[in-house]
Amino acid sequence: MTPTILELKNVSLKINGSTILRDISLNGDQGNIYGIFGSNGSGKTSLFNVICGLHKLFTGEIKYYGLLPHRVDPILISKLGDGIARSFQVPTVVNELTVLDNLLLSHRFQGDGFLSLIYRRKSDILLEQHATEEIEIMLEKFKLKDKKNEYAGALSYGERRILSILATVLTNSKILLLDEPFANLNIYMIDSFKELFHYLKEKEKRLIMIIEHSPDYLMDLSDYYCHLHAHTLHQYRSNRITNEDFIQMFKSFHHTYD
Amino acid sequence: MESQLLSSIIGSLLLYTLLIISINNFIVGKTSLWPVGHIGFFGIGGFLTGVFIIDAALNPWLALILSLLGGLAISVLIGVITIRLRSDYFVIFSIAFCEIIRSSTIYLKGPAGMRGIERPGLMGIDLGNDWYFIFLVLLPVFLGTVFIAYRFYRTPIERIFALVRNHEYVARLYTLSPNYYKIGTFILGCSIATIVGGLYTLFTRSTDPSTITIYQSIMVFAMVIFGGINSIRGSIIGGLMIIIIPKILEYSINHPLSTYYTAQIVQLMYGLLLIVIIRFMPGGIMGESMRWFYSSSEE
Repeated sequence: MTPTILELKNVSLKINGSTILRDISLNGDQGNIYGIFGSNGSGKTSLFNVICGLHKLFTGEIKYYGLLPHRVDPILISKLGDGIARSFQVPTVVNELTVLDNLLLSHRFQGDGFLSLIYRRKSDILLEQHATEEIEIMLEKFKLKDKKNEYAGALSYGERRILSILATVLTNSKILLLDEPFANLNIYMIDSFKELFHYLKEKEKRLIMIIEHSPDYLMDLSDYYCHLHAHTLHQYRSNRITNEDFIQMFKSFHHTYD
Repeated sequence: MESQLLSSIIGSLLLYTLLIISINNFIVGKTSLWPVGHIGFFGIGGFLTGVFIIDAALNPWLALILSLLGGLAISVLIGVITIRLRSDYFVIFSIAFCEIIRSSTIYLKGPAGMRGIERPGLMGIDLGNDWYFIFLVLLPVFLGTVFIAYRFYRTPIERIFALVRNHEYVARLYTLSPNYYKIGTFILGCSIATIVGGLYTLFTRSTDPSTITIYQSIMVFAMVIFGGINSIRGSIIGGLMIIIIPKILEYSINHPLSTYYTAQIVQLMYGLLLIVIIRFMPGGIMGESMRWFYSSSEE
């Protein structure tokens, strides 16, 4: 029995009177991958924004690691428990920093305050060295090691996307929210990412939520399918449904468009 | 006479370079907010030091520390109020702040400022000589500030600022509070400007409201862009420009009419230089922030 570390209860979101999310309940269990599907504008990204605290005006309650934050604030929420990290649809790397610096940003060092200008503790410097080694292993896997000292602005769009997903993973948060991680990537990179996500799920027992438009990529990866349709969420256990079931499911939801 | 001229040039060079560093390497370079009226804090430091020495008859060192505390308190207040403003509103607020400080100093102590401020001694050494003051006070302060500005590049704090400048919401998701970093560096920059103001008062033995006009402030700010944003070498070049060019012009043009027009010629030169720099080196002479852009455009 894996513990539930993310718990959404009757979450609704309305912006200027139009409903974005309606009455969504979802239990996120540790060590599982959730594939979230849905047509454009069905509220997938808004759901992520609500979870990580970027949308403040929602109703219902969200518990992280069994804790309820007393205030909706991204900083507060990402500090709860083992943390929560999110990647965006567009690359969110800093162009004027090198690849290595961009990934080091996601690590939090103790001496990040202004006192470090005068004195940095030995432990912080050691921590940074360890982080650098960890990052180099990760970069090796994604064929970016040669470019680790290049400016992120000099990389291609796809490489910057890889970088921002890696930065999300390297925060070492137990909850990862990934917004279309496989878009604009070639098939080898997608395989590498699948391998990485599988490792994170099995070995580090993380909870990963992935928004994706095409179910092909997630067929063999996700444990649950969540289908957002008409602002409501439908959840399925993936090992119970076959490929054909899946297509039928999609068709039944989309019959209104036919 | 020659030595006195040289020492006054060197002294004001160090002080103006410090002021430019406090704008460039602590505020503009880190937060990309433009404190165009930053010279207001320079004015606060100078004015408070003068008042504490002349009216309260305090020890000049104590006066300097008290004026630093005053500047600190005001910068905390201003920082907390304005740090959430968007860039252009921040500029307007900053200009208004500078103007408020200038008008209040004129209101309180008259347009001529205060005169006859005595320099203190330092451990038995009389600092009445300009050179002693430069080497024992200004140079250590200068080197200390440059050291702190340099340390930014050697700690994780520099890349945190880069993230805060570019993607504030991502910094929040990494549990870094953008406001903490922005206000912190703003207070640091303002405190340095306040100390510089106080030292300027001690150096010139007077306060002068005409050094804290908005025109002066924009001039100093133009040198930030000229030297290169977020570059220490750029700040030093900016300081050289603002002090050396008027002096060179003063002594190189020997026409009797020219002394009358020197100020105008200097402005002309500054304007021309700024246009040339912005056209051909958009990041400033030592601009490093655009390097990634050049490397990507080679493809």
